[in-house]
Amino acid sequence: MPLADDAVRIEGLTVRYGAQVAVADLDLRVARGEVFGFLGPNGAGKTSTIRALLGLVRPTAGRILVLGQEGVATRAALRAEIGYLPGDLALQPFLTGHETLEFFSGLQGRPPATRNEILDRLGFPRPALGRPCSSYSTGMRQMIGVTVALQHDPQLLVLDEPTTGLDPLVRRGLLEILRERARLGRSILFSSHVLSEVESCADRVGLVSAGRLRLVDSVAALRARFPRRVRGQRRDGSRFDLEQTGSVTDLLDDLRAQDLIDLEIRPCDLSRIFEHLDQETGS
Amino acid sequence: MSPVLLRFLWRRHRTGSLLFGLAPLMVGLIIGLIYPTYAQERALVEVFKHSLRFFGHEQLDMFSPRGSFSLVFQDPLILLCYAILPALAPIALYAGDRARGALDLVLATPLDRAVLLRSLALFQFLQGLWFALMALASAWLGALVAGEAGGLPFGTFLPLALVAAGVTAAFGGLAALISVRAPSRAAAGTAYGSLVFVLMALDTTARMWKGGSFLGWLTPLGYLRPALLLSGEASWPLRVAYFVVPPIMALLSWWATVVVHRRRASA
Repeated sequence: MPLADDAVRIEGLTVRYGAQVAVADLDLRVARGEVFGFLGPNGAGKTSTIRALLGLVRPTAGRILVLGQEGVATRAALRAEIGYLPGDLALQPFLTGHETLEFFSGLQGRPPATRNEILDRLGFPRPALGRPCSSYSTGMRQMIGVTVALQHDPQLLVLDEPTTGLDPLVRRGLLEILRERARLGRSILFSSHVLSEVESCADRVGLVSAGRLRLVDSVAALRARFPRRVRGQRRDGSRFDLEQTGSVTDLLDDLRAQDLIDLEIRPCDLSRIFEHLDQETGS
Repeated sequence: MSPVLLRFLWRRHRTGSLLFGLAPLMVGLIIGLIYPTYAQERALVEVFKHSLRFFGHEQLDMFSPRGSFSLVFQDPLILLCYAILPALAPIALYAGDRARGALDLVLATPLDRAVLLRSLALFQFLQGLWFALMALASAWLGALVAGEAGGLPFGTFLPLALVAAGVTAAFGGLAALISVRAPSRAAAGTAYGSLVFVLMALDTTARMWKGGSFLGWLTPLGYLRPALLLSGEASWPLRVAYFVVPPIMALLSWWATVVVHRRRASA
């Protein structure tokens, strides 16, 4: 794919904080119009990668192109095309929600074209916009943060754990908004440590641990590659707990012969995926 | 400059700035109210001669209207204000917001980092100017209350106000330099507080000990010598230094702040 078609291209990124290596030789590509889920446990290097991508931390090595251009830290016009939600969102407690949105809108230099729509779809109570952010719940603060990131309709959205603190209904609403943005051609890179959250919305996911990108694939391919967890109980009281890869139809055929009173099938969770990856690489 | 950021800084520091403006007003009014009794207290000069040296009594009669109301510019509380007021914005916006993670959100917008620092410097300068003008107005108001305004036109203390604005700018630059390096608001506050303590100690030493007057050149406060300026005893190179050196200190500090900021690996 030509370079210009990439919303994000990271080549050989290494970020060190003193002796500690946060990100090691990471390559990553997010195509335009793609939703890319950046997955990994806490401390895996997701936030350091995102901060390097935004020019908030200077990479020790590597090359980063955002919307086809290098030097995001020095290019204001390029940053105008980015919407960012930090992982540990800190709003100014003395500003009201409305003042916060206006402040960032002023810095973004564009009219907040989608602000009202986003607030409505997230279900943010409008009267609360006049209250100081210090009085907001975690979820309300996160909704304001999401609106800050999206209100100027940027080309690239970089969201660090955007669903933190949101209740399931708002979370679903946010993921729907992200899917819509992608359909309109916006590119989205969002990090999470929950696979199930990413799968409903991401085209591809990248798995990162200990600062290294372990795998990049579609969610479907990931599901097919790693075993699902199957737990059940037979009428005679005996239980089984197994891992299965491959067709669900085959699994159901196997189970049909057994007299089951309970069955639970769960996709492979992130920690198991990393365990499998470790086994595959022998580490 | 970023008008958006300037509005934000004003919103954040408006209460603090206004409250700091009350300090010279309070000092000016108190001096104005007690000035009529000064004549009786002249007899005490000999007793307090040593401490009056701090204010420059040897150059200017501190019981005269000029000497008395010049205290609005060099009362120890006011000297402390010169150091604290300009430090509020850079310590909160840089070290404080960086440690909380709030600065990332600002720096990810199109706001240029150089523009951020320039806006911060301008805000700080305006804060200092506001404080100096409050001191100027308060000195005159005090004289008015004491019934001495006739002999002290409003502009009498204008040179002192200009020097005071330069002194606050110099402190602001030093605070910005510390803030841009510090890992947290508490660390920046501690480092800056320690520096202010040392600079005030140098100034006090220079004021009280003739042999150590050169120490005053090492601190922005050392360029604020109302008695020398108002008595006309200062030579013209010295007068120029009072007006020029504090702003130069401010510019050098801000230049160093920009350099340190550029070299930082992390925002």
